[in-house]
Amino acid sequence: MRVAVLMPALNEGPTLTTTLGRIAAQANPDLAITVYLVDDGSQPAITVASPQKDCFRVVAARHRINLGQGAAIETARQLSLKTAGYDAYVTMDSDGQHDPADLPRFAGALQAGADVVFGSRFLGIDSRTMPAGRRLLLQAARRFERMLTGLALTDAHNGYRAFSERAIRSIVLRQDRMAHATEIKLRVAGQKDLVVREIPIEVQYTDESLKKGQSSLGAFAILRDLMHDYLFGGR
Amino acid sequence: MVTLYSLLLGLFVLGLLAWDYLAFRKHGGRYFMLELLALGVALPFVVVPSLSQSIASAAGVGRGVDVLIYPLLLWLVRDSFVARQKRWIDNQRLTELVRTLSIKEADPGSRK
Repeated sequence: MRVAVLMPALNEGPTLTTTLGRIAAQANPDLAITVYLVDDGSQPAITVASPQKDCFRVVAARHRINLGQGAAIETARQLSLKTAGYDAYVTMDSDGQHDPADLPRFAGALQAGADVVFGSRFLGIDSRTMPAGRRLLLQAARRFERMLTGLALTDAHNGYRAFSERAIRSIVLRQDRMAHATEIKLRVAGQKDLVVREIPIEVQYTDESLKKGQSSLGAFAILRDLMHDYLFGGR
Repeated sequence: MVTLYSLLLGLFVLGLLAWDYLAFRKHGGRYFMLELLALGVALPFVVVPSLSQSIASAAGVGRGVDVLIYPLLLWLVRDSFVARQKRWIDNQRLTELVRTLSIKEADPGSRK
C-alpha cells in the first residue's frame, strides 16, 4: 500500500524529528509512506532532518506566512495529488499526539471498503491524558457537528483521519484555520455515496501539545469562520 | 436657532476636516473630497437642528433626528458586512497566493 501523510507543522522543534522517525518506523515494502509536510510560516523556518529509510520520503513545503492548520492541510492535499495516486491519504498532527502505529489500521479500514475513516478518542480506548475541560468541550462540539452534518460520529475535531483518493479529491478545504475540521465533515456529509467509518485511537496529550493546541475560546472563532463561509462562500 | 452645543459641534467638525486635510492631502485626496461632501451635507443639520425637524415633519417621521439616524444605522450595518466580505475574499486570495508559491518551491525529498 502507498500512503500519503498530510502533516501541517508550526514552530515544531525536536518533536517533529521524533514524529517523523516514528512514522518512518512504520514504513516497509508493504506500506510505503510519503509525508507531505507543510511548514505553516514557522519562525525560524523548520529544517527537516528526514530519516533515511527505504519506502519512506518527506516532501516539504513552506508557507511564507502563517495561514492556519486548515490551509496547511489543503496545501499538503494539493501537493500530494500532483503525484500518482496513493491508496490512503492520512491527516496527522506533527506534535506527536497521534500514534503512527495506528497508520496500518487506518489503511486497512480503507482497504476494507471505507472512503473516509475518522479516528475517535471515545470508542473504547481511553485517552487518559485528556484534560476534563477538553472532554466536555469535545462532547458539546460533537453534538453541534452532528446537528450540522447529520453524521453520527463519536468524536469532534480529531485531526487523525484517512481518505481514499476518491474522497480526498472531492474535499477542497476553504477554512484556513480550525474550522476546517467541521468543514471536512460537512463536505463528507454532502456526498452520500462515501462510506464513512470510525476507528478507536488514543491521543497523547503533553504539556507542549496542550500549550500549542486550541483554547476553549477557539470554539467561538470556529463558529465565526463557519458563518463567514456560509454567508460569503457561495456554495 | 444656533445653540452653544451646535456651535461647538460645528467647530469640532471643522477641526476634523483640518486634521483629515493634513492626513489625506498627499494620498487620498479623493477620499478627503468625499468626506468634505458628506460633512458639507451634514453640517447644516448639526448647526440648525430645526432643519431636520422640518424635513421629518414633511416626511411624516416623529423626531427630526430619526430621519438621520435610521438611514445612517442601516448604512453602517451594511458597510460592516461589505467590509467583512471584502476581507474574506482578500484572505482567500492571499491563501491562494501563498499556497501557489509554497507548492512551486516544495522540496520533493529524496526517493529511496
